[in-house]
Parts: sequence; C-alpha cells; structure tokens
Amino acid sequence: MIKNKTLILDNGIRLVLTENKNKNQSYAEIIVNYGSLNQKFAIGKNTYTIPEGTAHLLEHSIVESNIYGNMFEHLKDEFVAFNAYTSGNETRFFVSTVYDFETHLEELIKIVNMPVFKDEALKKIKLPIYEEIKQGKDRRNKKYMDELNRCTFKNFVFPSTLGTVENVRKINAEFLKLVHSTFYQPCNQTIFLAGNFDTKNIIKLIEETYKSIESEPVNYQCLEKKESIKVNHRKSKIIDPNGEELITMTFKIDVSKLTPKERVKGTFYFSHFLDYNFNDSSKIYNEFYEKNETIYSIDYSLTTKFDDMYIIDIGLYGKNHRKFKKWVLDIMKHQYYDEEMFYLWKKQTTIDLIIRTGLVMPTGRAFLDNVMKHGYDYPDEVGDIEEFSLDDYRAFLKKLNFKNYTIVRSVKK
Amino acid sequence: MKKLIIDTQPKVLKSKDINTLEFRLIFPIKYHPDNHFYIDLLKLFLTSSSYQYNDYGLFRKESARKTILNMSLGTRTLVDNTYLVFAFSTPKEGLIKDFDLDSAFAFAIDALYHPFCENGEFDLAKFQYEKDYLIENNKRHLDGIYNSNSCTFYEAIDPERHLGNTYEQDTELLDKITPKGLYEFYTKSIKENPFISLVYGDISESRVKKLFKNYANQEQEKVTISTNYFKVLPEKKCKLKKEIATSFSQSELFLLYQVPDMKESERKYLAIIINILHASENNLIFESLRVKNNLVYDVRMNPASNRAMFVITAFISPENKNATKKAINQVFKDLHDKDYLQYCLDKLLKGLEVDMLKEEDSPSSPLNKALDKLFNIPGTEEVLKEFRSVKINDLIKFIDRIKLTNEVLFKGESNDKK
Repeated sequence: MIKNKTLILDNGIRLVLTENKNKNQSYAEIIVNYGSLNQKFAIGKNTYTIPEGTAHLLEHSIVESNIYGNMFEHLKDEFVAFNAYTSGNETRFFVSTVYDFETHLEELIKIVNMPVFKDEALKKIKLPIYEEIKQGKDRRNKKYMDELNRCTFKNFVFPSTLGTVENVRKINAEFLKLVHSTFYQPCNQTIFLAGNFDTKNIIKLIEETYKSIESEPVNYQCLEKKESIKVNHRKSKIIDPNGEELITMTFKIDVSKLTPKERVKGTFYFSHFLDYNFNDSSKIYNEFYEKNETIYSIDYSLTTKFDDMYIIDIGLYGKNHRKFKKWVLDIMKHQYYDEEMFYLWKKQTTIDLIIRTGLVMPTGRAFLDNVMKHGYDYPDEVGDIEEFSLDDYRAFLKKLNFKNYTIVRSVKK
Repeated sequence: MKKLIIDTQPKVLKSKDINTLEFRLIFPIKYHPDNHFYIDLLKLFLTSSSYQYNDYGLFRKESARKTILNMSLGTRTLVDNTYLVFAFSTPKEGLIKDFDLDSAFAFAIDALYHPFCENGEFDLAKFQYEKDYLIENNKRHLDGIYNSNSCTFYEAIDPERHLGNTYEQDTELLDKITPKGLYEFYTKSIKENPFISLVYGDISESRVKKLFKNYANQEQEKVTISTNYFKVLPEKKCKLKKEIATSFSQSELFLLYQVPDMKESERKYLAIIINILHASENNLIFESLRVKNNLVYDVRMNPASNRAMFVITAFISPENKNATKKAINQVFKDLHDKDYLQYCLDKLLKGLEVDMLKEEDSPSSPLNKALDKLFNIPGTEEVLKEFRSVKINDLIKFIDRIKLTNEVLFKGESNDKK
C-alpha cells in the first residue's frame, strides 16, 4: 500500500514522501533550488556574479570533499547507489539502498549541508570536470541548442552548466563557500523519499539531523529578472554545411493565471494535444513524409523550466521550413481534435494511472513533479482523469496564448 | 552441442500482483550478423501496421480501441542464438469495463501473422520509407564519438564479424535488402517458425490455452534449440595504429583484454573478474581512474565473458595514457593479494544478494526470471551459487591468463592547459 504525503518543516524544508513498507529498497533525493541559471545575487550592498560552471563544480565538491571525505569512497562498502547532478534550476543528490536507509539518509543530509572547502582539494576535483567539459563539446547539435536557448529566453543568458575550463579554473574555495552558504539553505531544499521507511520516524530523523547542523541564515536576493513570457528573438538561422537541416519552433505559454490543479491537468491535455497533432500518423507528418521532406518523426515536448509557463518545443529534421512553420501555426490556431481519439487517450491514461498506482518510483516521481513544478500538493488520482472531457479540453486550450514563439533553423547553405 | 527441448504449449505465470497481462511469443533463430537490419525492418512493420490496417493512423486507432497497451518486437542474442520476442500487453480482465481480451489478443496475433504484404513481398512504399530511415540513421550513428571510435575499433579486432557487422558491411547489406527478401526472412523466422510462449498476469491456464487455440494455434508440439552460449573471440592483432587522430574534443582509449585459451567451464572466473572491475560493489577501475587518480570523468566497460573478453574505454587526456594504463595494471596486480581478492569476492557475493532483494521489488521480475529459466540462462540466484563455489587460488591463476591484446587511443582535438 503506497502512502503519499507532503509537508514543510519548521526550518523550511519541503518533504515529499511516497512510503511503501512492502518494498526492500528505499530512495532519498535532496533537491536544492540552485543551478546554472543562478547567475547574480546580492547580500546587503554586495553584488556577486556567479561564473558559469560554479553550480556544477559545487556539486562535485560536495560529493568529493565533505565530512566523510569522498562520498564514493565512503560508501564503497555499503551497497548504496549514490550520485548527483546539476541542471539549470537545481542540483540533486540521491542515495538508494536496501540496508541502513536512515543512516545513509542522515549522511546525505550532512554532506549536502556540511561541505569542506579547500583549494588544494579543489584542484584535484576539477580534473575530471575538464574531461566532462570536453564531453559536452562532443554533444550533437550543441551549437544549435545554444542558439535555440538564446532566442527563447529573454532574461537569461542560458549558460553552459559545465562552464569552460578557464572559468572553472578560476573558481576558488572561498567563493564556493559563499555560494553554498547562500543557496544551500534549508528553505531552498526539498527532500524526496520513496520506498520502505516509516513516515513518522523519518520526519523525526530529518528534523533532528538538521537541528544538529549549525548554519546561519543568509539574507540574499537573486538579481536575475523573472523570465519574460516573450521570446528574445522571433527567428534565427544557423548555416552548417556539415550539419543537418533542422527547424524548431518553441512556444512560451503563460500559465500564471491557472490554479495548481489546472496546471497539472494542462500537462495531461498537452500530452494528448501534441501527440495527436504531431505523431507519425498526424496530417502534418504525412504531408512531409509523402513529399520526401523528412524521414524522421517530429519531435515534441513540454517542459516547465520556469514556474508560470509551459515551454513547448516542436522540431523537424527535414526541409521546407516555411511549410513547417505554416502548418504548426495552423495547428496551434485551430487546435484540431478527434473525439474518438480523445476518449481513447483518456481510457489509456486511466489505465496507465491504475498500473502506476502499484509502483513506488513512478508514483513518487509524478507526485514530486506535481508538488515542485506545479505547486499541487496531491498525487494524480483516477478520479481526476475521469473528470476530463472533450469540451473541457477544448476550452482549456482556447484560453491559452500561443503567440509567443521563436523559430530557429539549421541549414546547409 | 547442448540442446534443449521445449514444448510449445503456452506457459502461464499466474500473478495477482500486476494489473496487466503480459504476452511473450519467442521465436528462436540462428544468429547471423546480417540478420539485424531484417529484424529492424520487421520491428517497424509488425508493430505499426498489418494487412487489414495498413495505415499507421488506422493501426494506432484500432490498437487503442482494442486496448493494446504496448506492442514490440525485441531480440536477445546469445552467441549462436537469437531469440525474437514478440511482446504485447493488455489490461487484465475486469480492470476496466468494455475490455474484450479475445478481441485484443486476436488483433495482436493478426498484426504478427498478417503483416502489410502481398504476393510474397512487403508493401514497397512502406518498405522504402522504413529502409530510408534505417540508412539515414545508420549514417548518423557514425557522426557521434561513441559510435565512430567504437566502430573503427571493433572492425579492426573482429574482422570475421563474430560480434557483428562493420559499418561498410551494414551499409552494403541495407542496400541489398528487398521487400521480397524481407518477406523470405519473415517467413523463415516467424511465419513458419514455431514459437514458445509465456503469459504473465492474473489469468487462468485454461483461459490462456483457449486464446492460443482460437487465435495462435500451432501444430508443432516441441521446439529444439541449441543452448551454446559460449564462443571465444579469436585473438587478432588489429592493424590500427596505436594513436589515431579524430575531430572530436575528447580522447578515448580502448583496451581489449582476452583469455584466448579459456574453456566454457572457466567462464565464471572471467565473469567474477569483470564484475569486480566494473560492477558497483567494487568498481575498481572507476575507483582507480576517477576517485584515486582523477584521470577520467567517464570510464566504461563492454563485458563479454561469453566471448572470453572485455573492453575498457576511458575518456582521458592524451598525456595521461601511460598513467591510465599504469593505474589499470596496478588494479590487476592488487588482485593477486589473496585477502584483498577474497574481500572483493565477498562484496560481489553480497552485492548479488542485494540484487535479489531489489529484484523482488520489481513486478516484471518473475516474468524475466521465467524467461531466463526457459532458455537455461542463469539468473541471479544461479550466478550467486556458482560464484560461491569459486576458490581464490584458482581465481588468481586465472587472472594471470588475462592478456591485453589490443589498445588504441583515439586522440581528440582539445588541448587544455592545466
């Protein structure tokens, strides 16, 4: 039996718990609301600019230089899966184990909140990061993705999470300490737990562990402007004789006026909207495939990088970009639908949710998304899906604005 | 040659723990490196169209009406054997109203046995479309560092294609495949090939037998398969230079280790060593190269104890090549210490016990175990039992037989000053 619960502790930490005592494994993840998009902050009258690569270096430093030494080394005899990663909005640290979960959860909390910063240790920590930076350069379509971010985001210069070798080399222990003490405060953390634990006992353990950690609250201000709903540039083109012909249209959709429950519902409705209108059986796809203008499926996705907007990407590897733009805008304007397909999708979604209800991690992850991304403190229920109707779906889409978009193309000449 | 005789009566793994019914139809065929594009094309045909619903949109809609939750054609290759696995799932009966299991089952079987073809050939237009996609995709793979370097290396160490085709061979092969040739392959591998079946979920044996009798009846009662899952890759000195320049940023070092005179009965020793070097319980290569020496961000292993080999690939700075090799050699040296090796082995055994506990958490675990058992593939429990019987002295003697037979550094362009 899975039990879901979310609460905020007195020290500001948000807990998202998915308990199932019938499982052998337990999983803990600490999510810090700090990532590569945090680029400038102020404490009192002092202003600080955060160089690219800082968040990622801080993550490595926490993992490899903490009160236990190197966490990989510390856990090597414990049969614990452990890792961490950094993205634009956050940094995550996780452990997964079948033994001694409470001990390892406590250790995880301590390493995230009690790092050890030394310049000598940092020199060694940076070495594999230089290799990781090279790995980033070999990623496909890197230049194109950078340009897409530049055109989409108005108030953020979308940085490289890894940074450059020159930047990373310059970051010192003192600066990392300052950034850590500012952004890694408990009120900026969420702890997600899934699997075999006792909710009451675990909450007590977490509270006591944080009480044992000395930390001074820091009053700071993020100086980044809120991301605008408007795109930075309406269009852009890259010429790459060795690359592929490719077009992406990115839409920024304002959802600030939706309630949390509506935002969750919106992600369901958009999953159907995008699938129905852009999958391999769609009219637009058939138009391009029959004219030999593409052989790849149309890519589409919805992400929620920023709180009050959906970001929808629709992309095509192929030619005739003008036609693609025309067709996509037509679809966004007319919002085509098929009644039977809508209700078949609804049935499928209901079944998927029933199946998921027996699975700890998928249930927990979906619950975590609801809480963190949409501010909705409840897991998805079959009853919610049963409330979906075609009229509601159409009305929902109609009230959204699809006018904020950018088009980025890659051509050979 | 080891043989297994399996009867073709559908096997049922009854369980009330899942809400779906999982159907698996397994077609054993002989492995050949040229098979894989035929299989890829069949995958694209059989799971997106049928003779009756030859348009993808119609097929999808009908599939949704019948409540087929997913449908796939997968493969599992073990040395001389390839198992084509046609898999589909539905809700269990009674989970939702208006669900007709007979109708869903019949639809899936129809897709398998009545594909989109006529007069002994797959439909030309769809065939060409799917083939163009594979050709383009094949070209694309070569652009990325992980495939480009790897293809060059494996072509050099395995010219006889035991592990698969070279890129050029694949390109030639794709060019030659025709709708008729694909149909001939389909006929031999599926249409006229008896299958072994397994159904997992909350359903009775009699219900399953009735479904197969009505919609997927087969006359052949038994299937004989060879279970030879071991074949040593011949040792070859590859003709590549030890350093090859590439246009990628990263440099990638490939190290091939082989035990050319290994017998099948010794496979457990190599499997243990590979596990100690690479699996999470010990992960000695990662620990040495990354944690202790900071030489890499990323190091990978391609394990193949059934081929008496493994390949380590490390993304390093070129100037660290000798230091990397030295660190790896030290790992092998350290394993000659009996107490240390025993410690590593004990951790590995404990790790397997942990894996068994994790497997209990997975609802698909009983199905996977049943499939392994059907084909004499050892599961975690069998592996644990076998590893427990190993003696440390025999393991140390075996380590001395592991040879570094080939190495190549693919040198990237980045030249960072540290």
